[in-house]
Amino acid sequence: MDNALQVEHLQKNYSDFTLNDITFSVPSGCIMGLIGENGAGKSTTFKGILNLINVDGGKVSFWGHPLSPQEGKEDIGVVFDQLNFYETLTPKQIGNIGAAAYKRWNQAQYDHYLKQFSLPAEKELKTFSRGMQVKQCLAIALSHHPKLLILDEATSGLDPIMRDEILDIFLDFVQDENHSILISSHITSDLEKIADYITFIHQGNIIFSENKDTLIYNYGILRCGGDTFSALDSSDILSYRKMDYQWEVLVKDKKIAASKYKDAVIDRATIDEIMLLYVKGERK
Amino acid sequence: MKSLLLKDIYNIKHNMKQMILILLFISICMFFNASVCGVVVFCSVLCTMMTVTTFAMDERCSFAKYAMIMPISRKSYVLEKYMACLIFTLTGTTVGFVESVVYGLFTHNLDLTLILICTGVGILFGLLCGIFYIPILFRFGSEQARLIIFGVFAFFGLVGFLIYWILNILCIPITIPLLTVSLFFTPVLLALFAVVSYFLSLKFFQAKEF
Repeated sequence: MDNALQVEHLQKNYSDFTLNDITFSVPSGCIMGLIGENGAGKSTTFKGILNLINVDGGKVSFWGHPLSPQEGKEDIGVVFDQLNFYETLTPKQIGNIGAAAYKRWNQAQYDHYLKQFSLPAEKELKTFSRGMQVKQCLAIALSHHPKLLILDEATSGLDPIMRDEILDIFLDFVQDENHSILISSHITSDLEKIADYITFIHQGNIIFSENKDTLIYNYGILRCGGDTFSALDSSDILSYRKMDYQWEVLVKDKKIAASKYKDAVIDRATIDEIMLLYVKGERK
Repeated sequence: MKSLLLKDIYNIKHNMKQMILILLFISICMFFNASVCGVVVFCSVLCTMMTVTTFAMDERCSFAKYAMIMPISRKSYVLEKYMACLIFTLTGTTVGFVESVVYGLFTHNLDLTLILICTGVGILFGLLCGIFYIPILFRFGSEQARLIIFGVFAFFGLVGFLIYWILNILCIPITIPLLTVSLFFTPVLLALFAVVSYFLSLKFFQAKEF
């Protein structure tokens, strides 16, 4: 499978934060979810990928090539966590700007999205709700036939109904096997619904980049008392934390753990729980 | 480039009514003092200042960051600001020119030569201001740059006064032919200044992180 995006050893040093050796890839036709707590480095990773910051090392390639200032950007649609057009512009004017910027701009498609998303073409952006703003961003991003969507917290601040509607649009987009999505979100339940792969960044480092099904079906949370915890093989423990009455241990293979530790209760781990245990927990 | 120009024009269009009112009000006040040249230069500079507004609008919605993910190079982004400045200056000067002609016709005191010279001065002065402050805007952003720009105008005022003072000492009268000759040389200096200004802006913008 070809990679739409390949990030290798991306490095960015700030005085108070380092994005360290970020390596992952987004295969064509897939959705990669990027998760991590606030300040973990997700947005910095996006900026590094999109050449918005001067990175200190590493390589980023799109379909095997570095991002060219003009042609390459035609293939990429980006949605940031805010609408980047001035509040007095209207969707119609933005359409004209897009048509002038992109060679492959499809005005009919843009108009179709405005209609589908119920966005009034002549109304100023300042009257738009957060949901409408996200839809406006998506309408622009989708109307120049991109092959890769890069979405930075695109669904944050939206109600569940609006999020569901937007997730459907993403799923629709990847129906074409040449299309891919890289999406960061705090709302891991959204990523559980749509992502094929999950990359977890914590304090500027990649903790894992895994197939989502592997995470959900193989990872588990082992709950046990102090005695069982002491008897656990440290190689089975990814992360653990002490709760009021028990220990919670993240294990990579819940079936193996279940057969080894009969006294413990082992549950399926959600992405949220995996993230929480990595961030709040300790490692042996 | 076209997309960026469109964006700036759409953004500015929103302020157009206020701008026209300000231009008319100040022009009327200046005509009362019979300052035809002042009106043209004022219209030119005021419209040039709209470039600062485009920077402020871009900053407010982080547009430059978005522009960098569009098929737009950093060079194009910088160049467009100079193009916008040129368009705004020419628009302002045209408004000042038309106002002066109308005023001249209305008062039966139309001096077209003077108005044309003033139009030239207006264009050159407007562009000079723009060329001077665009790198400052790229380097410091619109908020800080506004303060610096006051300094820039003070600087140009001082330079103008010094030239006037030196000419006075040397007993060289400021005549229409002298102004005309100066006007012919100034574009060359302005073009050189614009090239330096562009490369400075590009240097600042290329170092910018979003």
